[in-house]
Amino acid sequence: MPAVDIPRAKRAGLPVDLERLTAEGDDWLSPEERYALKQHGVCAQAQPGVFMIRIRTANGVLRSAAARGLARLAATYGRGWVHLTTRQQVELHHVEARAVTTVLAGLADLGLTSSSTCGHAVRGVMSCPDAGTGLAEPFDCRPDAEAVQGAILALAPGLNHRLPQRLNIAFGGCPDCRAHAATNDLGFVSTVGEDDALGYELLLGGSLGRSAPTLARQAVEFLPRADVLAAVHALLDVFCAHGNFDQPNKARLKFLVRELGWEAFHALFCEALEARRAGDRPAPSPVATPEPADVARILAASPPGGWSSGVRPMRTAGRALATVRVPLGDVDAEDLCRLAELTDRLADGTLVCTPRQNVTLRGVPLAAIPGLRDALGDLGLGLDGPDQAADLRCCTGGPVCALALTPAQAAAEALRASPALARHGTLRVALSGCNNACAQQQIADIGFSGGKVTVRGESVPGYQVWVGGDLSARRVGQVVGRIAERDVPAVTEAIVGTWEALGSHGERIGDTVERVGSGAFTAQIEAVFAGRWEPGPEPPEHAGPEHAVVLPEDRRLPLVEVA
Amino acid sequence: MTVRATAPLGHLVDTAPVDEVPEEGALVIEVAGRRIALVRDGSSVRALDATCTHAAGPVEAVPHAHAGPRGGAPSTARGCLLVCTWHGAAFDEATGEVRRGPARKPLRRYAAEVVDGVVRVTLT
Repeated sequence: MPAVDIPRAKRAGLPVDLERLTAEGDDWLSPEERYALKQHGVCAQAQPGVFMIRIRTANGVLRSAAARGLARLAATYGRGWVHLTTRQQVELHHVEARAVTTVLAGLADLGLTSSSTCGHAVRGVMSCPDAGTGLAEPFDCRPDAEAVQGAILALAPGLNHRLPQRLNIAFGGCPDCRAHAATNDLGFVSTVGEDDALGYELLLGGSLGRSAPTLARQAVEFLPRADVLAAVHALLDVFCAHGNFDQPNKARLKFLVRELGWEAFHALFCEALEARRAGDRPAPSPVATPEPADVARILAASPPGGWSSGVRPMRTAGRALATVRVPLGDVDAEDLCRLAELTDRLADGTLVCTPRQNVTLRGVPLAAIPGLRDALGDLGLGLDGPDQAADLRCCTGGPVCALALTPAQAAAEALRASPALARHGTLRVALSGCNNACAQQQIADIGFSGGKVTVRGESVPGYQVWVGGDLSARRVGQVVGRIAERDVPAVTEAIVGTWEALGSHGERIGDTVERVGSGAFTAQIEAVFAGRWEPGPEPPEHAGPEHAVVLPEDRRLPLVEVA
Repeated sequence: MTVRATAPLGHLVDTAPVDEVPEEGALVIEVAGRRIALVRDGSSVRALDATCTHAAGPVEAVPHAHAGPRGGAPSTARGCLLVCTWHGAAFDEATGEVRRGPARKPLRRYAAEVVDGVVRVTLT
């Protein structure tokens, strides 16, 4: 199949005839029309004739009725498989071409949408899964995240064909999500300003992506809540006007920031923000400012089995946030229905998808935790925490994903039995089937990005090995080398063993790498894998071209507003 | 894999001559759009779904010796597992139970009998 010319497809306005897709299947689609399906959240799989459909959630939330409906759609059209992503979205796979529009209509009936969840679009807005309930947030960021999601969806039909690349947006409330916001093009970190004003620290230019993983920088120290939508529009104005539309591989916002320099980019953004602030702005929805949580009173009660990462206290005393560990982010239709039953019976009637591909139930009475644990055990699931071994993030990978080069889920499954990971349940390990960042391997303690890798002069299916990512320290991992697929478990043992030998108490792997240097890790891996590994990242000529970013003169357009 | 027949669900389907089902391993056929593995059990035959319960990948019969380091002990004298070719999930050829992830659910079993030398499967 000829390569898709994405700029051409976007210049044509991304037309695709969905009625014809239903009537005739997908044989007639041109590469550009196939790309255009992405604006509907419909993405080709490696298998011919079937598609993945990615569904937005609002703040990660699926109401139980929607979850049941989604399960029905999965069972009927998606061979029963439901995949949860690291961006709190939900994917159905194996949807036959002729059934795509039926599924899209079914989603609409459930109050869900897949609009603009693939391709160059403003993707689903992430927000803290504990928002509104957790002990550690300044205020509930959900209303603002919902307002942004609504504004983006309203803009989408006229916006996607103008965007140079995708944009990711996240709202952070709890410490984990605040740190995670820096991996996004646009991050909102909730904060309380002077006179108890509610607002956000605004971060710009983050992206993990297939190359040059970059954490966002602070662009505005305090942005009042009333200016949230203005900031989103301002960034769209700058991105659409100055982004590298004709070179999609170098069009993410981080490359624009590099090309212009932070100061020039920041000045452009501030100018656009001022212009947007001057217009009419809807008042933000009211949010309650939580009283300082009385942690001592809340923790005076304890759930049977005690607190853990899977059973966490809420601001409401006597209730818990219970996070279900979903192995590799995969559930089936039956599981999803059972989880919907559980939240109706034991929690608040919602399932909250988390950035770690798990599901959180909110408002579970402490006394109900044992029953929940038993019910999950019947499903072969469990609560997050010490009773679970490896903490793994994983994309769908090959042979399902059209982009993937390795079956990441097979490698991840092998790691579930890793003794090293069983010893360290808090280690975060991530595996992607390609160099894209669906599993966010760049910010994991240990990460793997799949592809053809060169080992001792031979090109084999394997992985680049990342170590030392740690968002709490604003640290992106580094590639220490490359290995064949079969060596993923063994190299994990070697890395963890080296860390155990060298690490000071309480250090994460990234701390140890920074303190002693990555050379100690590569030396140990070399000793274990002599002849079966290659240090350093895959050479650029093998990994794909890295172009110098040169913005053509005709793209240096005056600032224009997005309608 | 051989495409054998199409049939409405709930119907009895004559799938393949029993002589075509190997003594070891399985015969994987497609019936009514479903992949079905026919596995010998002495003089009778078992029928199991041959689509993985994890991500719907194709399942094939693989001798234990080739089923990977985590295949576990053989469950039958013939020593085969039904293994997903995508992510390596493995299932017991006799019961369909999961022997190795990432699948968590067993393969569906269908009623099967040999009638006049042909394996008849009840699709449900």
